[in-house]
Amino acid sequence: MNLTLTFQFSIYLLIALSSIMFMIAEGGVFPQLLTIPLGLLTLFFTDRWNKFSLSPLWANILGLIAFIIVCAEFFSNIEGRLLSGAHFLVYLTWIIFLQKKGDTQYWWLCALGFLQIAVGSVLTESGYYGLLLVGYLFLSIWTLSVFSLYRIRNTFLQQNTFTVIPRLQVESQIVSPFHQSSQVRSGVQSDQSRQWLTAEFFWVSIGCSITALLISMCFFLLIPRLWVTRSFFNNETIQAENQPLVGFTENVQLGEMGEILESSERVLELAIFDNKSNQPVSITEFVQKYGLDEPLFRGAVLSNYQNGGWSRENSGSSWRLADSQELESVDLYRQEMVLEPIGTDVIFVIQPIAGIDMSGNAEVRMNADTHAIRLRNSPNNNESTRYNVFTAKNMAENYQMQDLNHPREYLRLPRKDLRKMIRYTKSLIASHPELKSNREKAKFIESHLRDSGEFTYTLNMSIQDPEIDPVEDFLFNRKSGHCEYYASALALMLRAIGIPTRVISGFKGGEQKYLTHQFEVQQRYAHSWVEAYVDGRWETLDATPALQRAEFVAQNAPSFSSWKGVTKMMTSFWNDYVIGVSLQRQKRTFYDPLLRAGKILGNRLVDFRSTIAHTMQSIKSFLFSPQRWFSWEGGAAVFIIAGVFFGIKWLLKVTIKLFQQIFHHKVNSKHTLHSANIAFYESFQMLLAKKGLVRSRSETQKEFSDHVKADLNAELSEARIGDYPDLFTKLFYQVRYGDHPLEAKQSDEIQQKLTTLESVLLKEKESQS
Amino acid sequence: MNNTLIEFWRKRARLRPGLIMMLVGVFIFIYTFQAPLTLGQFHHNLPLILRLVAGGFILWGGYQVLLILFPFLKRFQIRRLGRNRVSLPRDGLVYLLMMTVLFVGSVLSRENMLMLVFAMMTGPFVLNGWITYSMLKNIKLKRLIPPRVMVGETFTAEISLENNKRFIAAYLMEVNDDFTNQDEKLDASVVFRRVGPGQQLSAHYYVKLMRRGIYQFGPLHVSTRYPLGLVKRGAVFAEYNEIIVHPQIGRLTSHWADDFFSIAEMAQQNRSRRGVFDDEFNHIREYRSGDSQRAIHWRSSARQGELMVQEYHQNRNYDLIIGLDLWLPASSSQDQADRVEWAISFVGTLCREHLKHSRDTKLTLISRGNSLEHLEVGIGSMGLEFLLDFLATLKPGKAQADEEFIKVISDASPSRSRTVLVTTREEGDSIKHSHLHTLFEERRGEMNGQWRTIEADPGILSRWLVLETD
Repeated sequence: MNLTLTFQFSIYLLIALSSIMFMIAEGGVFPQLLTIPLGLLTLFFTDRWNKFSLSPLWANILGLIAFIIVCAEFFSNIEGRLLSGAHFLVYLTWIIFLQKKGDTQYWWLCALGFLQIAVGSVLTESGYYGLLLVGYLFLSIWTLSVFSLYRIRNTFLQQNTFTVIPRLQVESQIVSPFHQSSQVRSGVQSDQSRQWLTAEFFWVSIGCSITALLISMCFFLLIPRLWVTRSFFNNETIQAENQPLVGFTENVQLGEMGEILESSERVLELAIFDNKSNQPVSITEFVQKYGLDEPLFRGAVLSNYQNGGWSRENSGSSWRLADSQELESVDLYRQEMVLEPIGTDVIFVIQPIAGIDMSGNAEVRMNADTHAIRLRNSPNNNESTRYNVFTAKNMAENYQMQDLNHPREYLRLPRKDLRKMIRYTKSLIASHPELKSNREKAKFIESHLRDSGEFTYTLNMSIQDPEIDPVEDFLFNRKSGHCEYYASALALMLRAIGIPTRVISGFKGGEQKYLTHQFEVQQRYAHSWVEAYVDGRWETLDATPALQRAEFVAQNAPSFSSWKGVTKMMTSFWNDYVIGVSLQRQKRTFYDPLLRAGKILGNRLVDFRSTIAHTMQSIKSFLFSPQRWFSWEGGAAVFIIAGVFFGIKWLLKVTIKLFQQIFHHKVNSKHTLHSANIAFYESFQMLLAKKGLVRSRSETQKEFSDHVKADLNAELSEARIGDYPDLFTKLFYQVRYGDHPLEAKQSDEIQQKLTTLESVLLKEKESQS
Repeated sequence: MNNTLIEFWRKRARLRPGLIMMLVGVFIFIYTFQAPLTLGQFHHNLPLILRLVAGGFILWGGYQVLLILFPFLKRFQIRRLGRNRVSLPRDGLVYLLMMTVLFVGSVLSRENMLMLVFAMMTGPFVLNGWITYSMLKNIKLKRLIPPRVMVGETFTAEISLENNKRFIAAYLMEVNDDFTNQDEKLDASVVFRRVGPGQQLSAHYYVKLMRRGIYQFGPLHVSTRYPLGLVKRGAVFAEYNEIIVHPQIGRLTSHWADDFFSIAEMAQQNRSRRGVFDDEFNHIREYRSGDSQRAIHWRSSARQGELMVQEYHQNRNYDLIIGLDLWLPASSSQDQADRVEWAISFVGTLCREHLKHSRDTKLTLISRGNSLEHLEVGIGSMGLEFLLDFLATLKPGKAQADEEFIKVISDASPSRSRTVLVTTREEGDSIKHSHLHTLFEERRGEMNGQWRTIEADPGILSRWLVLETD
C-alpha cells in the first residue's frame, strides 16, 4: 500500500468525520458541510497532483478575512458566540487544506479536528455523538499512527543525499581537500520488505485503539467530578447550598429565585416481590392495584404553613410498626428498598403498608397522626439504608389513614396574608353550586389548578410581587410554578373552604433500570402533593399538571423486543453512565467499592494466618469432593492451578538464571576447559607467559614453539628438554585437529613433563633474582 | 582551610543558582510564618503547601551546591541507567494543551460531554506513553564499525537492535548515534520499522569522515514516538567505539621518481663494490642479440641447447628516513593548518609507496610535532597500518626547530639511505636561522646518504602528490 496516499486519505477522512460530527452537534449544515468536498478537491489537486496551492501570503490574508467574518458573527448575536469560535476552526481548516502541506500543516489539521469535536460535544448530549466519538477515536489513532510512519519515512528516505553538516564558517570555495566536512547518510532498517504499512501494523493499530478506548473509559468514569464554580475548591455538596436543586426537602420553602437544576442523584432503589412466591411484581402493576397511576413515595408530612414555607408539627404519639414475623399469616407484597444517604431520617414507602422490616439495628417509628415514618436514631451519613416494606394484598389489613386527631392544625390558615386567595376560592366554589360534598369540591379545585390550562409548570422561578404571599403570587400573577406551588395552593385553598389538608413531600415516579431490573428514583423525581381529609379518610390529591411526566413515563415503558427497546437501553445507559456522572454516583459506584475491597484485602493480609488456613481448608474440601470438580469451581481451580504451576516454573527459571549469573565465572572457566585434553597446552602457555612469552593471536602454535625454542634455547638445552615445545605442539595439533584424544598414560607423561619444565623455568628465575 | 575558601570562590558562578534557590526557599518559608492569615485567605492549606514547596527548594538547592562543592558525591546519585527519558515533542505539547483546555472547560461548565472528549484524548496520550515505555524495555543495541578508515572513505556503520521481549514488537525505533573528534561533532540516525519479539535486525548508516584522527562513537540513543507521536521516550546505551581515521593517502606522481631519484643517481654514493655486477641476480633467460657475452651462463646453455644469459637487476632498494617537522604556531591560519595535513598525507603516501616497492629496507620516521617520536616501520601491511595509525593521531607542535630533531635524524641515517625532510615551516621567509634547512646545512658533515628538505606547501607538494577528491 502506498503510505503517502493512505496517510492523506486517512487524514481527509478524519477531518470529514469531525465535520460531520460537528454538523450533527450544531444541527446546522453551513459551513461544515463545505469542508468535505473542499477536502476531497484539495486532496487530489493540491496534495496528489500539485495543481495549485495557497502561498503563505494568501493564506494569511484569508486567515485575516476569516477572523473578520468570525468577529462579525461573534458580535451579531449572543447565542452565536461559541458557534463563531467553532466556525473559525472550520475556516482555518479550509485555509490549511488549500496550502501545500508539510508535517506541521497535517498536524494542525488533526488538532483543528479535535477542537471541532470538543466544541461539538458542548452543543449536544446525544448518544449518537458518543458512538461517533468512539469511531473518531479509532480513526484518529489510525491516522496518527500512519502519520508517525509517514513522518519517519520522509525524514529517512528522502534524504538520499549525504547531509552536509553546516560549519561555522562557510567558505564559498573550498580549495583544500582537507577542509571538506564529513558527511553522514542515515539509513533504515535493512530487511527484505520495503513495506511500511503491513498487516501487523494494521492490527496493532486496532489493538491500540481498543486499549485507548478502555483507558479513556476508565479516566472518564474515575475522574472525580469536582465541578468548579466561581469560588474555587468548592465541591458539589457545598455548591448545592447556593443553587437550588430539585430534590427532597423536609421543609418546603416557596419563593426562591432562579432556575432549579435537575439533579440525577439516586435516592431510592426498589423492587417489589410477592412475599410468598418471591416472584417479582412490576411497579406499574402494583400501583395500579392500589389505585394510583404512578408510585408515590410518601415521605415527610407538612401541615404548618407560615410565611411561604411549610413545616411539620412535632406532635402526636408514634407507633412501632409490625414486622414480617408478626405478619406471617397475611398475604403480602414486599417492597425491597434501598435508600441512599440523603441526610434525612424520613423513610419513604409506597402506601398502603402493613409492616416494615429494617436491616441491621435500625428502628423506625410511625407517627400515629400523620403516618410519616422516621428512623429513631439519626441515619448514618455514608451508608444506605435497606428496608422491606410490606403491603397486605387485602386492603383492610393495611394501616388505614382515617384518623383526624388535630383538625385545627390541618385547617390553620394565615388569613391575613391570604385574604385574596380565600376570597377567590370561596367565589370559585360559589360559582359552582352543583358541588355538594367536600370530595367534589376538593376534586374540583384540584382539577381547576391542574387541568384548566390557566396554570403552567415550570422550574424557572421568578417572583413578580415579592410583597405578597408566594402562593397568591403564583395564583394571581405568575400562574406558573412547580409542584410545591401547586401543592401549597391546593392545600391552602381547600383549607379556605374548611377541608383539612396536609402537604406530603416525597417522590413521584422513577425509572425502570434495564441493567439491574430495579426501579430507581432520583432526586429529580421529588414531588409534593396534598392529602385532604374527606369522607372520613385522608385522600391523595395532586394538582401538578402531570402531562410531561406522563409522557416521560410512557416513553419509558419497557419493551425489549424491538429496536426501540435496544435504543432505549442504550439511551438509559448513556444517560446514566455518561451524561449523568456525578461525584456522588462515582463515589457510590467506584470509590466506595474500591475502598471496601481494599479494606477487606487489608484485613485479610493483616490476618494472614487465618486467611491461609481458610484457603487451605477450602482447597482440601474441594479436593475431597469429586462432584465439585466438574463445576465452575472446578474450571476456576484448573485455571488457578495452571497459573500457580506456570508461576512456579517461571520462578524456577529466574532462580536458575540468577544462580548462573552468580556463578558466572565458574561456568565460564569450565566452558573453556571443556575440551580437557587441550588443558595441557593451556598450562604450557601459562608457564611460558610467566616468563614473558605470550603467543600472539596471529602466531600459530608451531611458530610459537619455534619462537620459544629460540628464546629459551640456553635454559632448555641445559636441562636437556629442548624438544619439549615441539612435543607439546605436536600433541596439541593431534588433539585439536587430529581428533586423537590423549590416552591416560600419555596425559600422565605430559603432566610430568610440564612439571619438569616448570621447575626448570622457576630455577632459572630464582637464579636471576 | 584557605584552599577550600579559594575553591569556593572559584566555583561561585556555578554555585549561584543553587544558592539563589535556597534563598528563595528560605524567604518563602519565613514568609509563611509571618503572614499565615493573609495566605490563608486564598486557601486554608496554602501556608502548608508553600512551606512544603519552600522545603523542596531548600533541599534541591542544597543538593546542587553540595554536588558542585564535592564532585565525588556524584557517585552516590541515583543512576537512571539512561532509561526512560521522556520528552514531549511539539505535537504532544499542543495535544496536552488542548487536553488541559478541555479539562478546565469541562470542570467550569459542569459538562460531562466535554469531560468525555477530554477522557477520549487522555486515553491515547496515556497509551502512547505506555507503549513507548514497554517497547524500550529489554532491547539491546550494538554498533559495528571498522576499526580504521581513511579520510574520505565512505564506510558503513551497522547498528543492530535486539528485541528480547516475549510478545511486544518494537516499532519505529529511531537510533541516534553521535561521534566526535576534537573539531567535529556529527550525528547519524537509523530507524527500525519493526523488530519483532525475539528478533534481531540491523540498520546501516553511511559515513564519510574528512578529518584524520580518532573519532569517538557513542553512546547510542534510541527513542520512539510510536504510535501517535505524542510522547517521546528514549534510552541511552553505553555503547562506545573508536575509529581511527587515517590521513588521506594519494599517489606519487612520476615527478617524484624523476626529481628524487635523479638527485639520488647523480649524487655520489659511497658503497663498497662487491663484484663486477653489484646488483642482484634476477633470472636466466634466452640470449637476445646485443646481450653481453660475459653474461652467458654456460652451464644452462649446455643444458638447454641454446644460449642462456644470466640477467641481473640493479638493486635500487635504499633505506628511507623521513623527518617530519610538524610545526603549527599557536595562532595558526587556515593555510598553516593545511600545510600540516598536506605534510602528513605526503609522508603517508611516501611511506606506502616505499613499503610497496622495496624489500628488505628500513623505513624510519622521525616526527617532531607535539613531541619527538622515532618510529621504525616494519615491512608488510601491519607495518603500514601501524604507521598510518601513528600519522592519524599525530599532533603538530609549536616549538622552534631544534637541534635535537636534527641530531636524531642524522643518527638514524646510515650510509646508503635517503632522507626526506618534510617541514611545515615556511622555509622561504626571512628569519633564516630558524630554518630547518639551515640547521641541516650546519650538520652536513654528520649526515650520511642523501637528503632533501621539502616544504609542505600545497603548491610544492602537489607536484608530487595527487590526492583524489570527489
